[in-house]
Amino acid sequence: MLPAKQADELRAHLFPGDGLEAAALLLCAATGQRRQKWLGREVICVPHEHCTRRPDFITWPGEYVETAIDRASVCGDAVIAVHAHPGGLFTFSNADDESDRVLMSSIRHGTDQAAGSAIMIASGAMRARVYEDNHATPVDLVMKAGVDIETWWSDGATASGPMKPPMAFTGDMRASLGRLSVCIIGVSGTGSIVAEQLARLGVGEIILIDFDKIEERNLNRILNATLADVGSLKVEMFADAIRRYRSDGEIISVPRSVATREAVLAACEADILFSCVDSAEGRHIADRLAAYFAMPLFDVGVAIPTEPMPDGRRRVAEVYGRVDYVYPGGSSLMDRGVYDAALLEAEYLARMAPHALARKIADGYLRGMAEEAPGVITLNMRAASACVVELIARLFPFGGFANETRARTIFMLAEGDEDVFSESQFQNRHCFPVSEGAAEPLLGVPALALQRRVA
Amino acid sequence: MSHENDPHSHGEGEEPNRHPHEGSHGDHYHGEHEHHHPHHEVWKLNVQGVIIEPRKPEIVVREAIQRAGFNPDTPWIIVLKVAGEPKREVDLSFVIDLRHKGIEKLRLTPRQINNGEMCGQRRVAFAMVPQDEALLDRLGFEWETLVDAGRRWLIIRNYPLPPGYQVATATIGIEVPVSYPGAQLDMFYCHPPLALSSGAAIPQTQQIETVIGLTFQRWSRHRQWDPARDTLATHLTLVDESLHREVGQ
Repeated sequence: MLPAKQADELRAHLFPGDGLEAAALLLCAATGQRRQKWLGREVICVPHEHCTRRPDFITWPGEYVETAIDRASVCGDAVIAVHAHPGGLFTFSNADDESDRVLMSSIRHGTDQAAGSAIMIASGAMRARVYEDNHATPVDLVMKAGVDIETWWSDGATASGPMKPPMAFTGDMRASLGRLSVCIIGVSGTGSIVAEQLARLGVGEIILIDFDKIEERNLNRILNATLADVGSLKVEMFADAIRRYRSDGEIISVPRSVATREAVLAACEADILFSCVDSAEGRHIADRLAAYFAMPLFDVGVAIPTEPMPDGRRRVAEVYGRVDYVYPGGSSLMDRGVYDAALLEAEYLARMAPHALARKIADGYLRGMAEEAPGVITLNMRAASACVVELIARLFPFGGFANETRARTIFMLAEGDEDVFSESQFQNRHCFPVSEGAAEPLLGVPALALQRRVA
Repeated sequence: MSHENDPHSHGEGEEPNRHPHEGSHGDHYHGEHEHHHPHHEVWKLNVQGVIIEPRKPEIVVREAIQRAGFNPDTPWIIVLKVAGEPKREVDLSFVIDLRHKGIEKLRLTPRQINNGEMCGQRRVAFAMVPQDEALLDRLGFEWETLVDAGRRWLIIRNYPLPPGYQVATATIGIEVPVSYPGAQLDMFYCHPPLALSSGAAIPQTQQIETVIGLTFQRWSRHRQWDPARDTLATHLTLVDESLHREVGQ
């Protein structure tokens, strides 16, 4: 899993434009029990002038391996040695096999971690393999998570290049989605509709996270929910529903709040994240997951703000749907003001000390919550659809628009308008570290940390 | 140095020692005392500055602490001071013999470890960020985290105040929302409610909150919280600045 910054840095260094091979080392946080992922954290460039470089061959000094081992051991990182194939050979050569035999063993013994080697071709496409012993195991997928989500599958790649992304909205797209794991946080108004689409589109593994049970009043907006399901967990109901129309694929239901360690550890194994929650806390966790575990994140929200009229009645002020796409290292939901530190505090007080919250609002120290009409399925469906279209556009570009321009999309049904915001319109404060993995405390939130021993 | 035999120190007052009817010299019926209390032996023990008067010459430490108004179940280091002897740590079940010569007092020190090791005795109901905890320990604070009616509090005791307040130290409370450090730390709370020696009013501190049964004065001091930059360390800076500003420092 490569955040855009590391991927771009690698590519700039490995392809300086002279057609000669070049080398670098990539430090990765290794995560995941069930689905192992290596998260690119840091690139160590081997300076061109310290190498003997030819179009089809490179020798480079081992002292950079030592540097990588030293830096990796600080956080228990794994090291991947990467080099360029300027000629476009998209497979490991005999010379690569030969040098790996020595190099991988040194790195393994230096870091006490599995080691990896990878090649990159001029397009930026990568292929990687991992050595846990003297044997190379191909890495199934190398993913670059940036404005676009680029995927390079080992399976199906040839020496002349990676598989091309299939055309959007085709059976090939379905087959491609069948390889991915997607986590959906919140399986209610918008989440159930996102989940339905992803399941029908053929996403291979769907992880559903929601602690809530179905109530009769939810039946107006949760897909697949019936009167018989009242009282059941939303995730269980939905997983059963998917299994009734799909025999392939894996559905994992996690009946926990996303603000729990179990849910975070379940979510982090996915490739892609959807946040379909109605709380700042849920978005905050999703935001951190995207950064810490280098996951592309799609966040959807709806709102129907109302306003008072002179005669005392209220009317609909606007009917909003919002889709945000966040990639690791890009501007976060927090940077974009979807929620903020004060709102998180207000939510906590609303749960634990409503009187204290009321007083703080009255005293002007916290904002009140806006009065909104409840979301309705008609709006939810449109927003959830826009959100999944955004995923398709990032994975299988089809539009006449560049994805850079669509970090956020807001549609307004009352005004009959749609606004798009580009990534550069948001100030990126780098609120959260990227590719930290499962370092303690989990996601940097002490409330999610391993329970400590307190005598 | 002990005054254990002072026959006149019999009432309340400075006298820090046991005041048995008799004791140090082993003769149980010292004349002067007999005059005052012919059949009513009174023994005395100083427990952390509080004089208790057991009826019997022997008392269990737990009872002594309780009678002096301290909670024996608080993790204390309990030291029995005896004149002319090295200080001696005792436990709750230890029996103090007030007839023993030179008994000065029972001293209580809260157990506190400042070396950053996990403290077995400190109440840590929820974790802070590791850097925060390291900071608190490095600053030598007596701190704990606790949950009161669902609200999460970092409590720092004996927080030193700059001169100009009517007290020298205070207990500082900082509410830590569950999403911290994404969620902001806002304001801080002082117990006892602080007043300036000058008598001048402190602005924006009128609100009183009861936390863990104590009255805390809310100091409405704010800033824009930036989760990329702000931590407990920057919040404590706000606390310090606010406390200093009111006394013109």
